[in-house]
Amino acid sequence: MVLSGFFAGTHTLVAQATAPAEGDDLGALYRSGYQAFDAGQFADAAAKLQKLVSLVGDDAKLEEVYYTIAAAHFNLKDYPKAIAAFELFLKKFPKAVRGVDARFAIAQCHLLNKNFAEAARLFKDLEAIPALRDRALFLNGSAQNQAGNLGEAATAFERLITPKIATPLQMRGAQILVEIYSKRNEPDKAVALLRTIQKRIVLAENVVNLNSLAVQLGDAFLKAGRNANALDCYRMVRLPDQVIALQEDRIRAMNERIEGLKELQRGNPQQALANRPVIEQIEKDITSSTALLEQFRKLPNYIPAMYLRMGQCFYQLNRKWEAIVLYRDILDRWPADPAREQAMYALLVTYAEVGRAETALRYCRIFLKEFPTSKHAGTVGYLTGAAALQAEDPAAAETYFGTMLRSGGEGAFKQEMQFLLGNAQMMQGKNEQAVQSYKQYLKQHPTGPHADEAGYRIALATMLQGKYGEAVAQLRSYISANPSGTYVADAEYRLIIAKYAENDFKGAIALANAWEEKRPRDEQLGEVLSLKADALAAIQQDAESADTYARAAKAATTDEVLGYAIFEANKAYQRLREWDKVIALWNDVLKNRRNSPLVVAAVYWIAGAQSKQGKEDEAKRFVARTVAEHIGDPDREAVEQLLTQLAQLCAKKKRPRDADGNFIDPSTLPPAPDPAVEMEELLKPAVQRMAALAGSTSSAPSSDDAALAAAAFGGVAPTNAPAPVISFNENTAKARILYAKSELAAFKRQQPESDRLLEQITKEYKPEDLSPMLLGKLGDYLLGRGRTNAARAYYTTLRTEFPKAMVVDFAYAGLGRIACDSGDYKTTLVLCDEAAEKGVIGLKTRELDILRAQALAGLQRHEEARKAFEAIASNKEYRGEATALAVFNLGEVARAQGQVAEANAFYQRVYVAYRKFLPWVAKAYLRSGELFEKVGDQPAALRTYREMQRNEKLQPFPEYAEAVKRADALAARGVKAAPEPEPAP
Amino acid sequence: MMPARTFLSALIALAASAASAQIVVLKDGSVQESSGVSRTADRVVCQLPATNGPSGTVAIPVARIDRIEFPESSDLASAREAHNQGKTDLAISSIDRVLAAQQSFKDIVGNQWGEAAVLKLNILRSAGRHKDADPALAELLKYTLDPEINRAAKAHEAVRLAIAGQPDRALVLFDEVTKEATDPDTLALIALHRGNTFLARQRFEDALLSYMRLPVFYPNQKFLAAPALLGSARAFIGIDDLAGARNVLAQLIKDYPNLPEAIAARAELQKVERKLRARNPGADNSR
Repeated sequence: MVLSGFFAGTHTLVAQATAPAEGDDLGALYRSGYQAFDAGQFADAAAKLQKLVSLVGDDAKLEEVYYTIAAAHFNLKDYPKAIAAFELFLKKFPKAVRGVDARFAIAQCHLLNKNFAEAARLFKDLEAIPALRDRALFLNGSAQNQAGNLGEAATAFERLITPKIATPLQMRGAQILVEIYSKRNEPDKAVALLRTIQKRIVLAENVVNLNSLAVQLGDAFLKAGRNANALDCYRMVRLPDQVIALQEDRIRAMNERIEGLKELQRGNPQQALANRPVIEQIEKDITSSTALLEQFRKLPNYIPAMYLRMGQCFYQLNRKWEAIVLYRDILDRWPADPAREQAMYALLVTYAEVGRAETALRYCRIFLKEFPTSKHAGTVGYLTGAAALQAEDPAAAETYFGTMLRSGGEGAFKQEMQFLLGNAQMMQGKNEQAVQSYKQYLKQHPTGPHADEAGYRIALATMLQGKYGEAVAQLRSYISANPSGTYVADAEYRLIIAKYAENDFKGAIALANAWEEKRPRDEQLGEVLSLKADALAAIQQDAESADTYARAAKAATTDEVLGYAIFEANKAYQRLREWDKVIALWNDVLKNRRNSPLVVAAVYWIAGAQSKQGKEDEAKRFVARTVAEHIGDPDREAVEQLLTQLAQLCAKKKRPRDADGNFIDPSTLPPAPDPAVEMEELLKPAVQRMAALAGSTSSAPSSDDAALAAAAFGGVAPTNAPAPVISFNENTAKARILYAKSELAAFKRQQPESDRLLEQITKEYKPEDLSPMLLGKLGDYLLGRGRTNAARAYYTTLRTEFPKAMVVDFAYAGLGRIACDSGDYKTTLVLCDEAAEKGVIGLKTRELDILRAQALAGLQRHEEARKAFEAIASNKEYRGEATALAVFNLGEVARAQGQVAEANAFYQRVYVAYRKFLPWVAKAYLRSGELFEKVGDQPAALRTYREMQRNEKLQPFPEYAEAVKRADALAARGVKAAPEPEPAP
Repeated sequence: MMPARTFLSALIALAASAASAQIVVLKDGSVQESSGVSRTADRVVCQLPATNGPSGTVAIPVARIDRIEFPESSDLASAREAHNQGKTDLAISSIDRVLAAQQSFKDIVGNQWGEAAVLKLNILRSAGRHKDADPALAELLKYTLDPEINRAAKAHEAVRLAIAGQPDRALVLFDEVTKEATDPDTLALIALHRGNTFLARQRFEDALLSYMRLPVFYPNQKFLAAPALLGSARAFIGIDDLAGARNVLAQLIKDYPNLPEAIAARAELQKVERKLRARNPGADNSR
């Protein structure tokens, strides 16, 4: 009953009305009727009072009796009779004080009788009465809501809570309105109102229900895929402790209100009478709230389950790290909650998806340990292996897949695991086992999703075992069994490899031709052509080989194939002096691969070819235009290479030719321009570009950029290539201009000027502004001047900011040298190992090899050091000072191992065979003399020191002074120098 | 999740909004409405509203007072607004007015001194004015009237320890406060600085998970969002998730273009783009 208290209180007012005075019978009937009403015997009350009315007749004094009869029918839930009685009351007493109450009661009867339309109409009329406005609006909204007229219901409730929620009734209306908004698919309104409700929670009679509303609304949004709205709702859900505290607070407030009312009515019976229904209602509310609270206390914690749903929302919003936060919270904060299994499963899957394979793997293991019989166990078993593969741990993957497969069961992932087991084995080079795994897969799942690939991989794994004959048979068998298989093209490519491996180059060429004929546009064509070019080169068909490499480069779809093919083609054309073809080869890169890092290299080679053709001026302008395009992009590493090339071209004294290419006597011509002025002129476009782009960072090119880019590409505006992204750093550009000038000065043999310009760069620009090559060069420049700390900053920036740079080896070599020279051999070795692991090769490879050997020697790992120095000494590419250094150090290693004679032989080899390398010669002489002294051969020692002193070039070295000192000491002791040994026959 | 403190604030706001006056609630349950309160040594002097009987003042012994319900302070609201707009000095001057007005009621429940002092610390920290924050923190740590304010003070103490190079002690204190605190301001502050502490120790995944608590649980803490995003990006870089870092940096630059963090983000973004290009030279990494 919506307003039961309303009618429960009616009789108290009626009791005060004047009783009929027409006789004792009527009076008795009157009292008896009201006593029955008071006792809740409404049928009896209605009957007696109705009898009273019929006895008395149509008397205006019975106004309250008519009202009470209607109230009795209402309380009996006989709404048709109640409506009739209230309408009769209104007809008989149109000006009655309680007329408004009667109208309200009629509307209520219609509502309770589910006559919603009529109820809504009547409540709407009652809204105009200020005292009833809120209740009428509330009940109108309720009626419309129950009738399914959500729009009208929303309007009524919106009016109820406008301008604000200030009463408990308005709060109840607001809560219903949230549900209506949800049903009407108005999530923004629902969430906004729910947020307002939370701010006015003091008015909520039932916090438990309010909490449930937020959860339900969140769930509804989640189901509808409105994840962001769902999250908004879930975030408004209070923790159980907070709900309990708030609900206890409500109950306490209600008790205090009763106490307050009782305090007010003390000594005031009339007030007490008026308060009675109110107190009764509050007591009922306390009872229901307390019961609800007790029920709530017994509920399991709903937060973990809600966090799961929040995690799901974030996951679906592709905010997976946020989902991880929630899943981890469940595991950490409520370790025994039933949601744990689901949370851990969701967590490990999400970790795998964000690429945290090792963490995913860790949770996979925990999951399988904690929930071995989970319905997700099969999936997790599979994920464990997959995560291990992702974590590049194929050995672990093999173990997991193997264990899961041995444990039996017919999990959904069994097929997948059998196949991946083979992949894990192949990754470890266990090709024989891999073949068995794939065969097992094909046996168990001959039509499985990986059957095609498994068949192909069997052949591939066989080939990798070097069993070419067997592999060829398997490949052929695979091709004939799967003529339209996914891997047929690759299988046929492998057949070409097999031919090549057997040195059947002509056979390989024939197969490659057939391959190309079948698939002229296949993405693997570049690889096939590259292999064909190798075969052509092997049979000395150089011109055709070069052209085929060029075609391979054009067809290449990967950087690896492109890089290999284009440089092979370039080398071959250079050998053949086919300069036009070199230019065409690299022009193709400029036109069709504009985002490739090869772009600047292309310019370098084109300019080189132009120069070879005697078109130096054209070459210079071409280089300068490209420099202008990329001068501010630190990632374009080859810019420095171009600047060096430009400086070289400018510094070069060319022999002038006439129009027919004949050399002209230079004295007949006006003087050649000063190289510095010429380079300044050539770099003007770069300076202009700097001014145009100064202050910009990285952005898509504007139309001006496009024009500049076109200019930089020799005026060729590519049509189908994607527009390049312009990256511009003004400081990089300025530093590069200085670098170009420094290079020019170096070519002109003006070393002090070259150094001054490098010094200027170090003073004016921070390492973070510079390109990889400048970082490396300046690091070396500073290290060469003993400015170790400054050098370290440049090398460190290069190592951390440009880890993939072509010249990152400068960083490893520089940092390694600093560490080695300070005696920190451990760090030196770590740096060398890191460089090796990353496959760093370049200009500093030799230095890194030397550092590694020196570090090993410093760490007293003599045998490893000896091997490392031997490798350096025997490396023909390192011939020169590195060999002298290595031989000297071989002596050092031998000396440290007590092998005196061997050591001395190495030292003598240095000062006999590598006399050019004075620092090592000086060291070798001194060490040799010392060793002779050590073994007691003083004359040989003195001879060695004297021999050293005869070489004046050694005087600046500290070893020289030491040798003089030692020689004088020996002479003072009367030692005579041993005679020169006989020259070897 | 809504904390109990918000609810209490709502209660106060409701009680005060009726008359925009202070309501002094006595321990016997009776209330004294006042148009202004002042403090003597052991009494609170209430200015009686002119509409509520005879005007004048009444002095109530502090010992008899249960709490004072102050109306929502416009200065506090202005400070929050100014803080959200990055106007630190304006925010501090508004806060200082609240602190001065509430200083003499610090020992009475319902005062706004603690809330204002915590807000001031938040503002100073987010402006990087850690030295200015230290004296304010020392005073706040002595304030024990409101447990939630006390927890906020402890959280700031942990931040101070972290900045002072004592990360281990800071992390212990962060964890301790997190277990008890319910105020989203405090919890969000902890999430940010715990993240910073982990980041400094190169515990990138822990840092990331801590920063991520802000968007998960406290998305309305706008003034902490920018540093948390920057920290997240750096944590992403630390775990070598450059694409993740790029997304976060782009979001930071887009959502908070005028904050100092956006300047740092632009520089970081350039580096990240460069690394991505180096990693995949043939691909167009621009979005």
